[in-house]
Parts: sequence; structure tokens; C-alpha cells
Amino acid sequence: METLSNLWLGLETALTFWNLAYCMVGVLLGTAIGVLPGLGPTATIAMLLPVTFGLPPVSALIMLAGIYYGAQYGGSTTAILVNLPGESSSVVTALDGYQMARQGKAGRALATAAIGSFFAGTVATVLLAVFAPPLADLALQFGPAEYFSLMVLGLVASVVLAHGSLLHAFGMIILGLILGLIGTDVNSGTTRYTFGFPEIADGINFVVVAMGVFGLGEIIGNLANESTRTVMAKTVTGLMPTKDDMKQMAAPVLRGTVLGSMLGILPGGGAMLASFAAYTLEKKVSKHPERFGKGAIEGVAGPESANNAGAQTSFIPMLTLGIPSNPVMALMIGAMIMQGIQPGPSVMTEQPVLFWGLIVSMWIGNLFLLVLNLPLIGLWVRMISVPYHFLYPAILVFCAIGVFSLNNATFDVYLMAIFGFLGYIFRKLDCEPAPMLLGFILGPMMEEHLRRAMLISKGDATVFLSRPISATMLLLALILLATVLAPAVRQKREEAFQEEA
Amino acid sequence: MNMTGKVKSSLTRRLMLFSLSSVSALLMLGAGEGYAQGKAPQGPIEITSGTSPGGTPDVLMRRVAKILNEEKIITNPIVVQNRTGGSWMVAANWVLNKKGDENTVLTIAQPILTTPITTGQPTVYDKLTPISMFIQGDLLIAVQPNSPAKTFKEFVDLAKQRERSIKVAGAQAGSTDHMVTGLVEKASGAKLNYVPFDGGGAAATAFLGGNVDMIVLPPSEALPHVKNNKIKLLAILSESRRTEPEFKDVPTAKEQGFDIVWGQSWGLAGPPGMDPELVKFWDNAIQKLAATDAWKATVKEMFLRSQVVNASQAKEHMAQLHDQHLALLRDLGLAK
Amino acid sequence: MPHVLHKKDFWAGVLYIVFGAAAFWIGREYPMGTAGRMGAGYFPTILSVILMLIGLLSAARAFAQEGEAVGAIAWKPLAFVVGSTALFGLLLPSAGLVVALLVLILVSAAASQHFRFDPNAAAGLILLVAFCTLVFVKALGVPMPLVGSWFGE
Repeated sequence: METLSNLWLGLETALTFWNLAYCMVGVLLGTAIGVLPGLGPTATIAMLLPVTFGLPPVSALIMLAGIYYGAQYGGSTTAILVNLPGESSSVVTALDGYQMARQGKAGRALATAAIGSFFAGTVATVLLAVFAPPLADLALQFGPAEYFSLMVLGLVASVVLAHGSLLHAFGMIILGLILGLIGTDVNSGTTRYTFGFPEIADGINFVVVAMGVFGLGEIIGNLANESTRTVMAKTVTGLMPTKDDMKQMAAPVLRGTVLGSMLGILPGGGAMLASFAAYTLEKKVSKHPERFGKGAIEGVAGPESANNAGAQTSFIPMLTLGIPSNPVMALMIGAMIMQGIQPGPSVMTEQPVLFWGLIVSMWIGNLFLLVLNLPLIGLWVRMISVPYHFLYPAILVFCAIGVFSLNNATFDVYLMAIFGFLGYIFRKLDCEPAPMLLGFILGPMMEEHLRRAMLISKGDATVFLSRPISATMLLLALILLATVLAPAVRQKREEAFQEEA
Repeated sequence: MNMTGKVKSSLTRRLMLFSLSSVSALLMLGAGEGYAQGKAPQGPIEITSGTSPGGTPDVLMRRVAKILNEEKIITNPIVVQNRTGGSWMVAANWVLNKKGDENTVLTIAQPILTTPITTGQPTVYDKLTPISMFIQGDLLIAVQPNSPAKTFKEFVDLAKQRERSIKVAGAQAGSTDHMVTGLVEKASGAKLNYVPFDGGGAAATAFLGGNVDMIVLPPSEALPHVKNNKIKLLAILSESRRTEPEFKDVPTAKEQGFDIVWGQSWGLAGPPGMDPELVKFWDNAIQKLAATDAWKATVKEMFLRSQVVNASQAKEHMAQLHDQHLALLRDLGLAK
Repeated sequence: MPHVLHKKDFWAGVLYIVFGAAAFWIGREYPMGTAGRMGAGYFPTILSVILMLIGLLSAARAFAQEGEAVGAIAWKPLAFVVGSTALFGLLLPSAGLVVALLVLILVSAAASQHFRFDPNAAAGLILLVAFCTLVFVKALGVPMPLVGSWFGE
């Protein structure tokens, strides 16, 4: 009953004309900027934050939240259309989404993402409204040991991202982990592998690496094959998913929603694992895992749902504990402080109008997003039918400006050029960049959590096994590793037998 | 007891310099300079900040910019520009390279002093043109609500029973949290187990999850957890208690017999070789700012203090702050 | 010397070994610490050794298993795309956004074999530069000079 009256209060707040307007403007602006390659949610919010300073607190937060999921969705659009993941969670969307686009199924991929996101957003909003405080307490059960085990599980899962050689998947993960070490070591303050450049003393930004290896690498690769094959299929089949597609995506959307909602609650980088985890799960449960990486619709539906569900539930630690679970939430906290609200448990009791208004507006924002984006799909699809030799210089322009705007520094542009070179070399050698990116994201967190857990336990490594959540995750990682390695081993043995025969 | 005595003699004396009483003493000397309208910058002004939007110094400077513009103290449009990276060194280098520029000022925060010390780079603060240090923040020592210690003294006694048994969560090595932990160790003779996290937010998460025993927090961040009974405040590290009802019962460490005075401070500095006329312009603007109701409300709302150390004293003040940080970081073995 | 059968695996292996060795070499300065109190060098050392082992494995496998050749490196697109990006970074502060964008677009476009003068493309170029100026500099306030220091204030 209390939830209902709270939701009513939220509805009253969110449905006022101005708040609806701000929500819509936020979603629109977020989508418009997030869709530009190189500009993910963090950059978009950072740029638009000052716009909201003049608004009343409720409206400002509603608009910022709108910008956030608008940008998140816009980022997925770019990942699907031009293979440019603007943030970590859309890396996996790019894997199959872009392949679908190349096969002329861009419309279906985009619609799948929109519908999956809307469903996941709705479920996650309900979760947020009903279970926020107990879920937040659950999230606090995760200490450094649990996080380390989660990261191990995430890394093993990232092997599944690769569809080529296992050895190269491991190699690229380790390479990513090493690249992730660049910067200041949190535990000792030592700067590592920075070659004396202060610009990378806080580490290399994810977007720089992603834009380089995916964006520039892709462009160079496409240009190299310009005469032998076209980049995009000439014929576009259907803007909307077929009945068959809907049937195929239903289960992945559900699984993605559950996974994303759960991981999104964890403040220590859970949300960014959500889409990776969903992709791994889909590939593992699929009867045809070989279709993944070649345009499987489940590879878009699962991760996109997980991504959006995680984006919503990552508000839980922020709203109920005042803890930022990712850079975007840190910005939201900054915005609240700017508005004179100290984020924390008291927001819910002292600012019920703000709390419930924001939650209800999230669902409305998701609805806006769906209504806005389904008609836009036609436009996007027409946009990528522009001849590639006109399209790629524009992509390059947005990458360069987007990367510059991260720190307002040309240094990042140079770095992106270097990663573009590397990206092309990796492509030539069949080394897939997706596992490297995941290693890059998880590396620093994994090392920090490991060292922290060991500091807290005073060097006793059994903490990872004596704490039940941690032990469960390590066990899962082991099982997953076995299922990944088993087919490869079997194949080897079969080959050996054949040679003998 | 021997330990406490030793510490008192060297380090804490110097730290006392930071205390607000001496800041206000400096203020008295420099206050009340009236002068005619001198040179002013032309066109938009950039306040460079080394944190991403939403970080405390960024929030503060955006407020400063807003009030300066709204109250028409400075009519040029002021933009707060975030140049993050290298623990403020990217922002600092940006302004250092703007020698004689009239439209750029740098936010001064402790990393400007400490990053060169911990990374072994040449000092930065003395190459800038100091304008004013005008925002100070208190720090609180907080423990788990179920901790058996009721006072700071009891807590220290507990920590002394077993070396490294008390786990302290804080930001990365060399951060304010780390320095405060070092001060507590020096003043008490206890050996703590400092566990660095990637930023204050992550440290607070670990604390709320019960993974660590102690944390250092500014009042504004501590407040929601106090209200929710998630933390117990043992001491405030300022010279005097805060006066708000929420914090007036938190005793200073000094009252409890531990000479630990430490805090955060922020201000502004210009690029190298800034025109003295412009320094005057800024100095004047900050003093006017500090007198506005809007600024006073901001300071109150964020549980800060605002004692203006004006341009004539800022240089000396920053040098003192630098020396205190250097001494402490050396003691902690973090200076290169 | 035995024959390299799988060129891609061989060179990928070499790449891993180079990266691993570099990481190991630079990382040897960082303190190792102990398992209980790991130093800054603990993780990098372990990782770089693993990467070198994977590299050796990949290179060794190249002698046993047949595979594709690497194929010709597309030097022209590689140089033009990477070069134009770097030029953008170089020109942005000194020549300003407009010039930097023109150079970035024209140099990168020259990598395509379809590159030729075309009134439509020229119009697109002007539109794109105008769009970036309006959206990024005017509306979003990204601090990029429209006209750089080369041309005075």
C-alpha cells in the first residue's frame, strides 16, 4: 500500500507538464548526442550537466536521468550502425548488431534493442520502486573478495566473446589487462607505464581505446577491402523484427533483464559487466553458438536488455546509499550536491517527491525512448546507406572531437591514432579486440580488489573460498572455463585421431 | 606515551599552522584594502578544475562562478573547465603554460601540492601566481556504529592491542585519507591497516558493507550516514568543534588529548607572471564573494568554512601548506 | 629452420612476446611486495610472463599448424587514416577547429579509391564543419578554438 501511495506521489510529480517536458528534452538531447560516435553517456552528461543547473532539483534530476538513458540508447545505435561502442556496455552490442547491419538487418537490430531496452527498463523500474532499500543492503554484502571473484568470472566469460582461436582470446585478455594497468597504482601511488606523461597518469580512457581499435581499425580494414567487397549490404530487409525474430528474442530479453537488474545493483563495476554477462549466457544456452558474432539477434536482445536494466538499477546504490556505482552516477551525485541535496539514505525519507518523481519519470523516459526511436530507425538505416567513402570521414570527425572532449586534450586524439594502428594490426592477425577491451576494463578493478582483499585478510588467500558468495562465483568461473575448454580439447583429440588413422 | 610526546614536538607543531585561528590571524592583517577599479580581464574567464564535473572542488568553483556572475561581482562570463588527468597535473600544466594569460585561473586543491611530492616532480604551487585560499573543509574520524570504542581514546587503545587489526578505508595512496591515517598513527602510536580504494565513494561503500573499521569523512558526506545510524563519529580534526546541531557533540581530537589538526583547503591561483593589477581584481572579487549571502549559504549547506587568505598572504600560506604536506608525506614514506 | 605454416599465429605470437617483454622490462622497477601486501610490480610481472608464454605458444603453434597468410598491409588507408587523426590533434590548438577539420576530412577521404572532387561531397564537407562548430563549440561549449593561435586572436 505504501508503495502504491508513493508511486502515486511520483506520478503526480513526473506527470506535471514541465517535468514531462524536461524528461522528453533530456531523452532527446541524450539520444541526439549519444548517437554521435565517441560520445557515450558519461561524456554526454558531463557536457550537459551545466544546462540543468538553473532548473529546480526534481526537474534537473529527471532531465539528467533522461539524458543518461537517452545517451545509453544512442550509444547502442552507433554500436549497431557503425561498430563504434561509445561505452563499455555497448561493446558486445556491436559484435552481433553491426554484423546484422552489414547484412541489411540494421532496422531489425535497432528495433530489437529498443524493444528489449523498454521491457528491461520497465521491469527494473518496478524493482527499483519496490525493493530499493533491501537491494541496496544486499549490494553491501559485496566486499573486495566478492568483487575479485566476480571479476574473475567476468574475465572467464569474456573468453566466450571471441569466436575465433581460444589462445588468441586469452592473449588479448592479458594484453588488455596490461593496458589497463597504465596509470597510477591506487594501492601504492606508483605511476606505471606512463612514460612520464601526466595525461595518462589516471589511466587511459576506455573511449580512447574503443574508438581506436574499433573505430579507426574498422575504417582502415574496410578501406583495405574497398574494391573486393561492399561494407553494407545494398538491400535492407525490414525495419521491424519479424514474428520469428520476436519469438527468438523473448527469452534472451527476459534473461538479460534478470541478469542486468542483479548486476546493476553492485556498486563496484557490476553494471558494466551486465551486457557481457548476458552475451556469454546467450551464447552458452544457444543451440547454435556458432551464429554468434555473425549477426545473431539474441546477441543484441540479451545484452541490450541487460544493459538497460543495469542502467536503471545502478540508481539504487546512488539513491539509497549515496554511493556512485559508475562515473555517470558520480556525476548525478555531483548534480544533486549542486542542487543542495546531499545524496544518501535520507533522500528517500526527506525528499519523497524527488525520489519517487525520479523513479516514475524513468519509466516515462523509457516510454519516450521507445516512441522516439522506433520511427527514427528508418532515418538511421537510410543514413548508413550513404556510400561508405562519404560516411567514414564523418565518423572519423566525431571520433576525434568526442575523444578530445573527454579531457579537453589533444593527447587523447594522438593516443586514439596509435590504438587505431594497433587495431588494424590486430585485425590482420585475427586477434579480436572485444576480449582485450573487457580485460582493459576489468584489469585495474581486479588487481585493486585482489590486493585489497589480501590486505584486509592480512595475506590469507582462503578468504576467496571461505566467503560463500565469493566461493560460488569462483566455482561458476571454473565450470564456465571447463565448458569453454572442453569442446576445444575434444576437437584437438579428434584431429589427433584422424591423423593417426 | 613517549611516542605521543615525540610527535607533539615535531610534526603537529607545524600542522597547527594550518589551523583556522592562524588563518584568521592572517586575514586580520590583510583585510580592509579598499582601492579604485583597476585592470580587469576582457572576455570570458576560465576557472580550470582538475576533477570531473561533480567533484567537490568542481562543485565549489561552479558555485563561485555562479555567484560571482549573479551578484555582478565579475561581469565576464565565467566557465568552469574540467581538465582531468594526472591527479590535477594536467590542469596545473594547462595553466602553467598560460604564462601571462589574463583569462585563466586555476583551482587550487591539495593534489596541486601533493602530486609533485609523491611523484617526484618539480613543485607547481610556487610557479603559479597565488590569488586567494578561501574555502576550508573539516574532516571527521568515523567508525562502525557497533564498534566497542565510544571515544577516540578508546578506539586508539583498541587499535594498540593488535598491530594492523584496525582496517581503514580511504582513497588512493597519498590521498588526504591516507595522510590523516598517518597522523593518527603518529599521534597515537597505534599501527593501522590502511586499505586504499579507487576514490572516496568506493571506500564509503566498503565501510558501509562492514568490510573495514574506520573511515575519514568530510561532514557533508558523513551526515546522511549519521542520520541513518550507519556510522559513529569519534572526533573532528579541526581546532574547534563545529556549531551545527548535527556536529556540535563531536569532540575535536585535541580535546581528547591527541594533537591532530588537519583539513582540506581550496582556492584560486593565476598563471605564472599574472599582472598584479589582475591579482588585485581577483582578490577584490573573492573578498566581495565571501561577503555575499549566497556564498554564506553555500558554505553552510556544504558544511565548510570560508576564511579568506587574500593575495598578500596567499603565497606564504601556500608555502606553509606545502611544507606541512611535504613533512607528513615524508614521514609516511610517500615522498619521492 | 622449420617452415612457418601459420603466418598469422606466428606474428600474433611475436606481438604478444614484444608487448609482454616490454611490460616485464619496464615493470621490473616496480616493487614486488609479498602476496599479503602486494607491491606495484606484482600484478604486472605475473601478467607479462603469462603474455610472453601465450606468445611463445602461439608462435610455436605456427610451425605445427597450417593457416592463412597475413596478406598485404593496406599502407595507404593505414597511413592516411592514422595520419589525418594525428594531424587533427596537431592542428587543433594551433590552426583552430575549422582548419583541423578540413585537413582531417580531406586527408582521410583521400584514402578511399573513390576520392575525387564532387560538388555534393564539397557541400557535405561544409555542412559537417558547420555542424561541428555549432553543436560542439557553440552549444556544448567544448573548449576548441575555431581559429587557432596561428591566425592571431
